[in-house]
Amino acid sequence: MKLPGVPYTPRYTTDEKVLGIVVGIALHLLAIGPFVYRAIVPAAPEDEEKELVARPVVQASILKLGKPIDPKKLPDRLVPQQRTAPKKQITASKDDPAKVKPDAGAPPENVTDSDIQNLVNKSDPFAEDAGKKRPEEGAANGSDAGNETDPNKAHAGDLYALKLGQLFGQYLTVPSVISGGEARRLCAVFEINVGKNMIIWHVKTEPVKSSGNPLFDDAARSMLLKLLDEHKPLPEPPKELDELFRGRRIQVQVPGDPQGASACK
Amino acid sequence: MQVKRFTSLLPIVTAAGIAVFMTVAMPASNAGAQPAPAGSGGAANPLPSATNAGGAVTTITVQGGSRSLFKIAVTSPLGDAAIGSQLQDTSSRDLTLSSMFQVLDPKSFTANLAQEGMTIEPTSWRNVGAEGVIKGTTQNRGATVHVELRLFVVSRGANEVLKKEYDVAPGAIRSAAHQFDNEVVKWFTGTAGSFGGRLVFSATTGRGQKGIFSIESDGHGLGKLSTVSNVALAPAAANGGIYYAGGLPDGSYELFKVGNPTAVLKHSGLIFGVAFGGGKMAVVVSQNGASDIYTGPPDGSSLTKVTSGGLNTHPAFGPGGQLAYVSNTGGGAQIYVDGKRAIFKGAYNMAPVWCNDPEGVKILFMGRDGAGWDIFSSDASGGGIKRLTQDQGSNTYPACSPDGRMVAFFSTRGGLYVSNPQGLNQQKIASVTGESLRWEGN
Repeated sequence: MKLPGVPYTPRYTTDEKVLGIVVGIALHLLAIGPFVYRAIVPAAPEDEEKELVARPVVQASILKLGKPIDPKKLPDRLVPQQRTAPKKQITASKDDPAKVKPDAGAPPENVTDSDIQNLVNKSDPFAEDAGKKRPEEGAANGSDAGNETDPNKAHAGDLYALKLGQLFGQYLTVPSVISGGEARRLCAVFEINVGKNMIIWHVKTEPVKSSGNPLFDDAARSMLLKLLDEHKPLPEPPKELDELFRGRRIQVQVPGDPQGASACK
Repeated sequence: MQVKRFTSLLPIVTAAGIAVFMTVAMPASNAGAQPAPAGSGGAANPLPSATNAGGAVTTITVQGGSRSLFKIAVTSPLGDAAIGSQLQDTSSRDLTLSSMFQVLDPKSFTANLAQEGMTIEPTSWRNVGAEGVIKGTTQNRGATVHVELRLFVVSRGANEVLKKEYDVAPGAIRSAAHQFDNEVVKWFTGTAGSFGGRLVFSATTGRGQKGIFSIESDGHGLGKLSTVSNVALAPAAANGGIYYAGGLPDGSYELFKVGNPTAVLKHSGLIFGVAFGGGKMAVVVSQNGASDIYTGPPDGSSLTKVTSGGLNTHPAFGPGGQLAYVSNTGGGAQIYVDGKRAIFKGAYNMAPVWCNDPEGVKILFMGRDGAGWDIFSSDASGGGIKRLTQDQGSNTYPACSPDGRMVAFFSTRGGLYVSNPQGLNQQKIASVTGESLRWEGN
């Protein structure tokens, strides 16, 4: 840039400009040289006579879950992961969750609720650090018995009943003095009343059908009483199921087996 | 004047009356108004049952749920404070090791124990999170101590659900606690616990020397047992005694019983191990470069060889009389049951013991994994192998409690550990390591 009052001095000398042009041409030749050479000098004839080599096609499949396990390998240890965070709750309220609610103020005296107790209640028994992360075992090609994940293909009523069952299950805690094998044989049935606004307003404390194990009945009853105390509306039922749930008396089957309800059938 | 005032209030009174009627008589018809929450056992409001075309009541099935330890408060029994403290400590440790209970910190108790006496005020205990309470009294009666212990379940009300009394020597206070704790487990599960039992094992006592040791299942009372020589191996508990293979100065190994200097079983070969169960005994006899297992009546008569060739060791009888052992006849050391190979995973597995787990009979064994060992379980047929330890040092020589609810093993983490049969709730009970661990009664 030429500045006023300042004598102009070229940035490069003539020799430098010539050198730059020569270097630029040389670099371009280096880049296109092989192509020019290939165009001028044809490929060697023996290359054309070389037979095609048949290479086996490797059949690959996408691994969905992990690598198949070696049938002779001793298994890894399965331990519950440390979990002290609150369980994921299904939002049943119509209220805007982002809406800031007024501060409830200081807790009343002799309050029995505490953060530490809540943390203990929501943690897993025996949960521990599972050690180093290991590759997940699974079927290389996925499982034929996969679950349907498209909600439009599943029955709306089934989905709603499942949603309610999962919500209730978050409040169910079975004491460990009931062994897993014993729990799998248990099923208790209780009755609740749901209001028009989908809030549970009554729990019949005597079971409609006892499991036969008083401690399990206690656990099932405690689950329902916790829901009663929360005074929160249950998820809204689909329109076509509204009359079956809203303002109705509902029976709640509580199976001891978290994986299934075979004992309730 | 009064009539006029009443007339002016009439619309308000009428409206209030209608509102009361709507609330009392038609609770379900008002979408916004709810009766007060109630959890009473009285009859529910007679709302119509939800029905479908088939006339069935609307039913939902709870999915999932979690498990938690039963929270129990163990109080110090009233009476002699030192005895009470011993009972409280013993029960607290038993129940903690059981993997079924969470013993609450006594500092959190808010109940007035003296005022409550031998009942409980359920609300006081519920407020501190207790689901169960253990209380008791002690009384010195000359040469013995009378101990009365009670179990309360908070949801069952103020009275005890279990009450037991014991008269024990002052030096055996802990045994009263163990007995009661076994009854507590029985009340909850239907089968008694195994607290107060003994574990026996062999451990190195010097260069080329091994001794037999015993320890209570809660880690108390570690002691070396008297043996005939400085080389004592492979102990087994049966018939109220501890048996072991003892090496003699002439190079022979014979079967001895602790407290008896005379061999209870001799053989032309070397006896390197023994097991009892199902009304039988099994001994390991090493002869001519091979090691075989012989079985027969527990008195050692009419023993019959049940293996042929190779090295066969570590016999263990199952609850049904099945015999598990280690054999290298198929190559590396593997677990066999009644002559057939049971475990087909892993390159080197040994030291099988049976576990009468309430969830199903299991075989516990140690398997080599890399440079170390870990504890595994399988079902009685050898399937369903599960790992109890991993990345926690080398873990060896499992033993199972008679009730099948606790597993003990040695670990290079620095001692003797117990856990539940799934390997959870691992707790060190003593800083001692050894081999050939056996749980008395199993």
